[in-house]
Amino acid sequence: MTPTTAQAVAHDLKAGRFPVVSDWLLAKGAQLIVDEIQQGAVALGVQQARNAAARLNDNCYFELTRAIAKAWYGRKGFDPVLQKRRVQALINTTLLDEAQSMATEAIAVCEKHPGDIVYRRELLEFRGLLGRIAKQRYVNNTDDLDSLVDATNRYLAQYLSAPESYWHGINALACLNLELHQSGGIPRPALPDFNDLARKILETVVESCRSKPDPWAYATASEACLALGRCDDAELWLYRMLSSKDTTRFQLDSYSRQLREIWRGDPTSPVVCAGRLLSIIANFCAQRQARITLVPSQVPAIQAALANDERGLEKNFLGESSFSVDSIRSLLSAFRSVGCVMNDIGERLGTGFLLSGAWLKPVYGAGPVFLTNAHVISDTVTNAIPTGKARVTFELDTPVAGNLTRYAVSEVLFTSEPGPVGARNDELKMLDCTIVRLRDLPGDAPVLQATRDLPLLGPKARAFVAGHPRGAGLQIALHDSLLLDIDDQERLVHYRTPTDPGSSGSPVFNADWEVMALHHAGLAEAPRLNGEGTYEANEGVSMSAIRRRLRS
Amino acid sequence: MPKRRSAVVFVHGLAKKPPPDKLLELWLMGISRDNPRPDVFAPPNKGINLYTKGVPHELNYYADVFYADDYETDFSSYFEAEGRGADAEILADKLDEPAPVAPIPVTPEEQAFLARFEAELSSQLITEPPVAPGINPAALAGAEIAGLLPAAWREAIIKKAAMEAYYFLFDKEYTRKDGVNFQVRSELRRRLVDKLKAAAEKGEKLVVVSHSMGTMVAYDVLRNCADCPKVETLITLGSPLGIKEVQVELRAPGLQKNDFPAATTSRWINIYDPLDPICGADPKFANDFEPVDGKSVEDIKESNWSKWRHTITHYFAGLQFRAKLTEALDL
Repeated sequence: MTPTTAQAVAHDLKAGRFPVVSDWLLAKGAQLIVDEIQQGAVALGVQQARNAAARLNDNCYFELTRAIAKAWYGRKGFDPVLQKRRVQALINTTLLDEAQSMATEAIAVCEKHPGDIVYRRELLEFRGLLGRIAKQRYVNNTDDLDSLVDATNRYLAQYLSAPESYWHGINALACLNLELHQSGGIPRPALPDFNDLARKILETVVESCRSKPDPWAYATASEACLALGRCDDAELWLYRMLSSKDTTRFQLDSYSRQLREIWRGDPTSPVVCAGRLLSIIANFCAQRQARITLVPSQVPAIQAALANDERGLEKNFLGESSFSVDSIRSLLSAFRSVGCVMNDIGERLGTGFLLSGAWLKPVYGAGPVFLTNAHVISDTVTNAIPTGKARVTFELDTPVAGNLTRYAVSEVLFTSEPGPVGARNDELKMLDCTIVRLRDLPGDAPVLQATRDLPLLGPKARAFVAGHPRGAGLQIALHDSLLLDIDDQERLVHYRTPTDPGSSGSPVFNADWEVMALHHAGLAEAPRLNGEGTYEANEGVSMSAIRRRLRS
Repeated sequence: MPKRRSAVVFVHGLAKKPPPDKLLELWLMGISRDNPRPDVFAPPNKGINLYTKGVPHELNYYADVFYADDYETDFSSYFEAEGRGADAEILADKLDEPAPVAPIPVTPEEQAFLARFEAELSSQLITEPPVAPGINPAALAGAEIAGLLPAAWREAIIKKAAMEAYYFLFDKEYTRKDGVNFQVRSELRRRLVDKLKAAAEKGEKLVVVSHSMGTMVAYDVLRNCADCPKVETLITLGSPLGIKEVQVELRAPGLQKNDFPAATTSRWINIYDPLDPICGADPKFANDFEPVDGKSVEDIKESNWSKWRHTITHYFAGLQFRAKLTEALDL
């Protein structure tokens, strides 16, 4: 039974279950846990808070994890597990300085409790996280070789002190590979032999898989084989990971990111092993999860492939999925107009997009305006980013000194609060929409084309949702889904798409790549728009309804 | 479902057709293809997908009145005839098959109609000359001279068009080979009016897209049927409405000249290829149909290419047709 109240959501989270509910209901549930902690509720045990933080991190709701862990720390003091979740969440929202300072402090605390098994276990984790922070610093700035060496040393130290922790070992190996690449193949003195290290990690992880099959272990085995140049074996382990029912999207994205960022793989040129593995993952995501994901660094290669080798691109990147080369073209085009919405400290909390102001309402003028959900940017909706703290980035903007421009809001043109999923009304209310102008955004910034006509329902009717998944990697993902229903007022659109967290405020496209709706929520048991009962559905608010409301 | 801004009613043309669902699918495919013939129409030439654009549509089907369930089964004429001669399109359309029933004119007026109608089409269809010894037939095939057909095909096309026109225009009783009788004009009128009413339930503005003999049915209903719903735009493609003998039979009682169906219709766009033999010698209508209330026919010339310049999917590929349909649907 899907919870419908914040209390029920909080209950599920505390029990270690992740409820599939709308973002804002989830946020309300997490807020209740925060309130319980702050009020010192006796009934709330640390295990419940740990459960909630773990589930929220697993599903990429990092800001909610942080809120719970921060509240615990403020009210009840240091807990090594909650603090670990908080550091993980900070790394995933690219707040590396804060993550490093917190992990360093945590290590000092853990070292004071050598007799406590939990502190001892988490001490290893915190040290590994310092390695991960260093690795991420290098990924963000590939000139920063000191961070790369730091990452290698930290991962290696953890692995050598506890060889069963192959997670540290495989990261040490990946960093070593990068170091060798940077030094022209000459290893640093006193480091273990690269191939020996790879073989040992592979032995450990294969042994571990025999007793306890695990998606992380499959990914590690695949990566170790990649390091050893045994690409067929790397592929075999990857297929084991892909076929495991326990593999989460987060795990798949993590391995994909590792192949891309650390092993320099390119799915459009599968001649190199890391590229081959990435093209298999890209095919899998396109076919099984009906999504394609691009990161800015892939854009030039994909543009070149579109110009020179469309069929190769189709084969390597899309497989037998329903996506076409046109989908890729449209995603590349949308990349310029789809923005990532974050708060003033850089947490990526939603998506939005640019449209012509005049299309919505003549008085807005021809320049671009930015649309997102009211539960993403609003001064009145609970847990939304207040207008003054909202920032928007566009991933293909030219970086200035390594950073993308963060556009602040200069003016709120319109806002309409969110309503429950499937709630029908005749008055064009509860559109979950905020329309703003962005300060200093060029007047000729590219806008998406919108339509006021919704497709006819039928077995071939599709909806495509493009949004920014949460997490450290800058990316945009396109989901392909079936259009399920439209309400009688043509206000709400239902479609079945496995959207990621962070999709709130995404444009929903028709098959001609015109924006037909603003994505707002999804539910496992959404009330049907026509007739009784529920079904699994995502919901968008039609552009037609927003336009009619603005012009009424 | 909520009512949409527009709805389309299609009216098909001459000869036997695929089953209704298949024919509709083929017509929608023809309209929705992107850049279907880049050598004829320079890209970008984006198709119009009526499902994606949210435009409800109805197909007014009447081929069964003449041909029952003897459906066309070779659909290749609807697809791009890359590397195929126009002959293949005619064969696939079964235009080379003889008409199922030869009209038997009763009155001198009917007799005169048939003679003149056939003469009009004959003047547009030229019999292919026998290939002289020593000339490579393949060299002639590339010439793509419109209307240049083998004598037997030419005869079959003329007779079939004449038969359909005759039974419709004179509202003759037609007995199908399975024994079912139709009063043809009454039946075809009723079917189209029903489809227009059904479409009016789904869309605020109606657009009629008609082809070939179907344009006669469309004009007749819009001009002469009192219960016809209002239509925003009538589009006629490859229409024989320029033929004088046809005009006479469709003229409203008491009028000396045919006129614009202004009581029901706001706009009439006629798209023709001057070499389309079914259009006869006069493919333009602005001078044939008297303007009413300032409304007159907009004639637009567009290439149907190839030898058989009457193919519906070729008209659907046209840049001007697509622009006008987009305009009519306010997309």
